Amino acid sequence: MRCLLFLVLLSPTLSAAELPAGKDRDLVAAVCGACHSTQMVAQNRMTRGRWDETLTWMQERQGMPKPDAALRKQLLDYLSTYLAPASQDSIDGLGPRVANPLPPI
Amino acid sequence: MRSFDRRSFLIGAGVTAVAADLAIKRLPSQLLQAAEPDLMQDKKSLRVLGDRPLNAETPVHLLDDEVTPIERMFVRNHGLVPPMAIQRDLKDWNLTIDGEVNEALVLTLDELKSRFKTYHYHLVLECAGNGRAGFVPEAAGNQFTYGGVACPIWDGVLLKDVLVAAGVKSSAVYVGYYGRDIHQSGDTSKVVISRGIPIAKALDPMTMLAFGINGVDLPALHGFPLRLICPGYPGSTSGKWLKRLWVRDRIHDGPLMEGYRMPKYPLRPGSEMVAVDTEIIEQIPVKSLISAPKSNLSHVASKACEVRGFAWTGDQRVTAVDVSYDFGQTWLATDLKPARNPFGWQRWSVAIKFPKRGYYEVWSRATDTSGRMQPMLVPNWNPKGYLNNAMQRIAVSVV
Repeated sequence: MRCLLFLVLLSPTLSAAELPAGKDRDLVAAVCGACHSTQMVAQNRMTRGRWDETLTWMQERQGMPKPDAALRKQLLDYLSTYLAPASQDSIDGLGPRVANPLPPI
Repeated sequence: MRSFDRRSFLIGAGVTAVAADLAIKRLPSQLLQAAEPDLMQDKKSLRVLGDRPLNAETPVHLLDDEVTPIERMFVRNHGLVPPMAIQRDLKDWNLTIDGEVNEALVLTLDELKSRFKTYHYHLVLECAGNGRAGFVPEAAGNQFTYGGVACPIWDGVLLKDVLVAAGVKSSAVYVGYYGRDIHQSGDTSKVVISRGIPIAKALDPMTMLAFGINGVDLPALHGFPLRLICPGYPGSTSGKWLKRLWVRDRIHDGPLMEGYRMPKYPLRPGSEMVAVDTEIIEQIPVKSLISAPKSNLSHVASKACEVRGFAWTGDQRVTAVDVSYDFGQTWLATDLKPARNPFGWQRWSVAIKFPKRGYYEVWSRATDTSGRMQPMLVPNWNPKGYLNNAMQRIAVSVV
């Protein structure tokens, strides 16, 4: 049982590899990875405001304990820095270029 | 060996005391997950999007079977698979049908199978978020590309027959489902997802309570022992591991009913979606996929290249699939087969003779009975990334 707990607690560190390297990555992996995989976090690219709304949704609907102000700031600083929307490349003001050529599978 | 102190371990790993407390309160889901057998052991060809909860899509070139085999069916979970499904333990299982009915029913699986006629329908199941990866700016959630869709043969009874047996009152408006899946937090009192469908859809003769896929009992991942199949509606309405169907006198309001909604007024990409200006997703839009050849194939110019795939819609049936290999300047009709039954996907194929060597894209565009076609660009931007039915493109190098 002790070995299982050790392995399970090691997994936030292992799964931190899913998240982009950066300040407080391991903290984000430990806090977010407690309930779900860090892939769920790493798949998203959002503005600070939308990450903040996402944290609030976790608290209100998914049973996440509310992080205190200091922790919340650390989480949002990481998320808005390393998981922000990609820069847009618009040639006509109507939105980004279509991916061309297609990437290999 | 020193007694194991979880908090000290986490703090030693560079995590603050506050975060350590947060992580400790949430351990149960990791332990539960660690104890599960490998639920993906028969699905190694799928691309895993996340392992907790488990979500995986099928590479589109592996969706070339008219009847999707179980090992190529995508996986979509909001929570954890319940232990009773993994152990295939039917001892305490039953399905309750209650609410706006004349007589509430409580049925075991055997009773369901013996009281009601079994049907076998070829029905598309598609995640509303299939295609989410195409949205720019990025939409939140699992980044499905083309493989959040499958069309096996579902074995089961008609929801209509069960509801008629219970006697649906004129006050019935919606039917909400409850399942046995377990919340990510490990809190067994929390409902993971509880969506529903309008009563007319529930009484539609193609809406099923399925206990089998392609002649075998539902696997744990796909909702053992019983799930809903609401064809032509988003996959989130096809609830798994059912325990209760609540016939309601109002629109259902279970967890995630507030989720699967689209903007009523088309949004500028990247802008805010206001809850009051949204509507529940019902019928899914017309779509097609190219299952062969695999993108970035090299093809010999002298031979005609067979391109094929499937097409489906939430609105009756697909009436045409056309392809273009010159970026939409000209279109070729394909040979489109009829569906086996309503809401089954339809096979299309065409042999393309490329005019000369070089690099080409092939696009497929389906049209349905409403007269609508698939768009070229990703339509209806929304922050959740639902209902991207833009045309699929493959690359072909003709040598």
